[in-house]
This record gives sequence, structure tokens and C-alpha cells, in this order.
Amino acid sequence: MKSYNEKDLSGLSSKTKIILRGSILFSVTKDFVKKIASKAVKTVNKINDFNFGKVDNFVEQSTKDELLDKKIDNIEATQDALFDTYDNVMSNNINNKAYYLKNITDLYIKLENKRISYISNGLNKYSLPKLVLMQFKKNAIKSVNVLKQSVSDKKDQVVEKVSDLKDAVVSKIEDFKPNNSNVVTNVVSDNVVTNVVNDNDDKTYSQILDTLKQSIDCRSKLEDFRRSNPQVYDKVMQDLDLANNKNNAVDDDFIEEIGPRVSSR
Amino acid sequence: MEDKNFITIIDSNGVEKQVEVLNYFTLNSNGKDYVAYTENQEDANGNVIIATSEVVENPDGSIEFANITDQNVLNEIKNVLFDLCK
Repeated sequence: MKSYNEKDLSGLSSKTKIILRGSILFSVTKDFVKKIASKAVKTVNKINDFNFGKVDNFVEQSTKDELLDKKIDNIEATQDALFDTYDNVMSNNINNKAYYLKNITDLYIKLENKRISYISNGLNKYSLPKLVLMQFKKNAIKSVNVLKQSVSDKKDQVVEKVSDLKDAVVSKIEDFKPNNSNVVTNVVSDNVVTNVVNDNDDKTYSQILDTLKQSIDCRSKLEDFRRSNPQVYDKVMQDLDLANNKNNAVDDDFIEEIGPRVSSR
Repeated sequence: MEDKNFITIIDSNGVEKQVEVLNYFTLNSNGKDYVAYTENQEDANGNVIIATSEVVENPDGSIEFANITDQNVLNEIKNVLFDLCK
């Protein structure tokens, strides 16, 4: 990991007043100088590692600059980078996509307002900024709405899976109970499994294991979903309020409650 | 065409001079900004003299190149410069 981060040289070159208070001098070869200079970051930050903090600093620095033309150039360069970043975020499957899109849009608007204020000072031409801005905002809002719908659909899928899981478990146990009442003393109570078994019957044991196997399989699929969609999963779990409403979801401790007891037999 | 980055700085005597910025970076250890630059002057052996300073931004927006007094920081900067040459 690097111990430093290179900065865009435009942050210095845009300054009109730099006072030298002190420096440490080195003597190096010409080749050394060429190599260092060739690594200098001479353009606005690359798209893939765009840093919003840097943009904020860039804006602040720009506002202090005395050369409006240069400020406008800097802003427009940053806006171009924001457009590219926006496309990049949209075309990649990343977490917090809506958050990044909102940040990009906010920054763009902030820059655009600043740019317009400079232009209105009469030092540059006004070139359809509002039209561009409106289109940008329209695209951003549309994208966020698509994301919201996607999250909602995933939430419905999770609810459906949890419901299927509950039905499958309860159905299995209900099917099993009538013919094995002497085996199972208290399997189902208010749709919550509370206690299991006191018999060594191989058939009974096998059926219980089958039921549990299916339960665990469903549980595994749910876990896979949780790992790949943690935010959606957490939101759904909150909505279902598992701890307080047992009729709406499978108890989180279900497997842990049943598993050890059966396997110890 | 060679792409160089020149800025104008004002020295302690109030004299403006053009220097070439070689690199501008932030040290992660202290979050401060530093610059390496040169007036492209050579020493007796034909090597180029380069300088490094801490970059300090004043509340009025002006920039100062300040001296580096911490030897540990100086060592870090040397390592950065070596790393940039790889």
C-alpha cells in the first residue's frame, strides 16, 4: 500500500500567489528528475478512483482563484469527469449506487451554479448550461427510481421465500404428526416449533431428518441471498419483525433450536 | 512535445521565479501536502538540484511553500521520490 497519494497539479498551477518560505534541497540525476516529473498527475482525477472529497477541495480552491477564465475551465473539466463518473457508476454493479449518483448530481449542480455565477460576471459566454443541467437531473431522477423499484422487487422475493420456507416446514410436520402422535409429543404449537421427539423409531427419525434437511436447505439459500444482498435482507428482516410476529416469518433460531436435539439422538 | 508544469513562486526577497513542479502529493502518515520542484539548476557534478516543501494553504487562499523540519517526514518524502522513480 502506498504511503502517499499523488495530487492533481492543477491545484497548484491555478494559484496566482505562491510564497516560498523554505525548502529542503537535494541533488539528483537528470534521469531521476525526468522520472519523477513523468509521474505527476496532470489531469483531473481518473474516473475509476474518483474521490468526492477531492472535488470539494477543488471547488473551494477554485472559488479563491482570481482568474475567472481558469476557474471556469477547471469547473468544466471537473463536470466532464462527473459525467464520465456518472456513466461509470450506472454501468457497474456496485453497492450504494443511489448514494453515489446523488453525490455526483449534487456536485454537478454545485459546480454548475458556481460556473453560472462566474459566467454571469460577463467574463465568458453562456453556453446552454441550464439545458444540460436539466437533462442531467432528469437522467439522475430516472435512474434512482429504477433502483428503488429494483430494491422493492428484491424485497418481495425475500418475503416470498421466507413464506415458502415457513409453509414447507409446517406442512411437513403437520403431515407427519397424525400418524405419529405417540412419537411426537409436541411438535407444533401456534405455528412455532417448540419441542421434538422422544422415540427411537428409525422411520420417524428419518422423516424428521428429511424435514430438517429441507429446512436447512431453505435456510442455506436464504443465507446465500443475505450474503449477496445484505442491505435488502436486513431491510426485509426489519419489516418482518421476526422477533415479535411469529406468524409472519420463520423464527431466526429455528434451526439452532431443532438441530442439536435431533443430531444428538 | 515535453509536457512540463511550471508555476510562479515568490521567494523570501520578493523575487518571482518560475519553477517546474515535479510532483505534488499527500503523505498518508500526517495528511499534509508536499511538493517537489526544481529551478533546473545544476550542481558542480552536473546533477540537478531539486527542492521539496510542505504546501500550506492560508485562509486568504494564498499558498505557502514551507520548510520541512521533521527528519522523519523528510525521510518519508525521500522514499516517496524514490518510489516515484520506479
